[in-house]
Amino acid sequence: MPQNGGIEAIKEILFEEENQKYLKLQGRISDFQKKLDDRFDNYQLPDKEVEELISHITEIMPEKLGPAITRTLKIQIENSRDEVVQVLYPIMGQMIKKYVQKEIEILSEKIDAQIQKAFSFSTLLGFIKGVFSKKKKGDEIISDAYGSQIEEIFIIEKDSGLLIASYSKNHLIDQDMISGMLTAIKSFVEDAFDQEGQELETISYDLYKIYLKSFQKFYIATVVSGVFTASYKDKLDTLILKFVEEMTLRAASINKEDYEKGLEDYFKSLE
Amino acid sequence: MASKKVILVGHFGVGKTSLVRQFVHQKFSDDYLTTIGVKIDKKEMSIEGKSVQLILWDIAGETSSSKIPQSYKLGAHGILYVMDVSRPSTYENLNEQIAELRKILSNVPLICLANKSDLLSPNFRKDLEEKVGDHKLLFTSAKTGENVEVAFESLTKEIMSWT
Repeated sequence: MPQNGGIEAIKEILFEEENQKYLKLQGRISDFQKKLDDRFDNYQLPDKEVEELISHITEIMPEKLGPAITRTLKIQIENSRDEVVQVLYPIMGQMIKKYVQKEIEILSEKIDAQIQKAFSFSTLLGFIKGVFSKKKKGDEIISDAYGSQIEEIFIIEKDSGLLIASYSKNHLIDQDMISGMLTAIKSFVEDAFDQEGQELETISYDLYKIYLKSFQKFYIATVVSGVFTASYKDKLDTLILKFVEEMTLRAASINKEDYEKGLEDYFKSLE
Repeated sequence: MASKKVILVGHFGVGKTSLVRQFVHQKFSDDYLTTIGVKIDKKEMSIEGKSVQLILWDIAGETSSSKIPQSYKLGAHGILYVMDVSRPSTYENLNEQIAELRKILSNVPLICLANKSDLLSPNFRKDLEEKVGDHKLLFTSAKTGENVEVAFESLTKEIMSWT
């Protein structure tokens, strides 16, 4: 018998019991592994159970995590106050400004309506006194206080939408394109409502009002920022009519530069 | 610098917007933008040493669900009538369409553009040329850029000699 074979035989005799235990244990582990695999392969969480679980988590989430999230946010905001302000300031500022402007417009219109409605002797007397003491109407005061300002003026050929002349405070926009687009919008609205002789008068855009005044061959578009009250509109109307009258009288000789100089002189008086 | 209004008209989807894009931005795009039925662009050109600014009114083609105001065409100094060479329906009623345009823009220079010329088949070409008749015709492709610059230049030249 070779030497190695002898050792193996002695091992078999000495560890027979352990070997059997080992084989038995290995078999049980394999069975257990198989059972576990089968169970995972075949196991499906019922839809209803999943739904209930999700609904439960959704329910308890605000209660359990809410305070922690709030605390975290508070700490984060506290620690980065400057950054938060920087992000929120323009958005909040615009929102508040827009809201206040709208509210002031409503208030101003109410005051104006009230003034015109109240026509008793005492109010009439008060009004006369006001005229002599140069008191201003409600919306005039508001308009003065909240600074209606002319940003841009365009004189636009009615049919073609081509820009004849313009006055701009900031030169921020492409005036030729704006003239075309305003004419297109005007045509679109007037065509849609199809009312003979009626024309689009104002367009509201964010914090701006675009006031359109039509004449035979052209129209004037005035972009106003701030509160656009009825009295400001009256003033603007008067000025536009005066300007057009003067320009028409000089029409034979004036050119684009004259128009633009005239626009600047006229409308600066409203500022 | 003088400004001239040029309108681009024609059926829906013939490539008017793409022609303008190719001309103004030198880039072809399949997007078609319409809001109130018109898109306005501008481009400066120099013709024989004279500068002129073209204000381009890209007027959407009418569909059964949209009506485009006729007033968009008023005051135009030049017309580009755009057709799609691969769709005969876009030039079948060409003469009636031009007659309608002539009611409001009687003597204004007009050029017919047979667009999408990269898709042109010889049969369609003959048919199209017959339909266009005496009107000036150019074959263009907004996709390859073929004749796009030429089309706008030719029209501008005609506008300048007409006004």
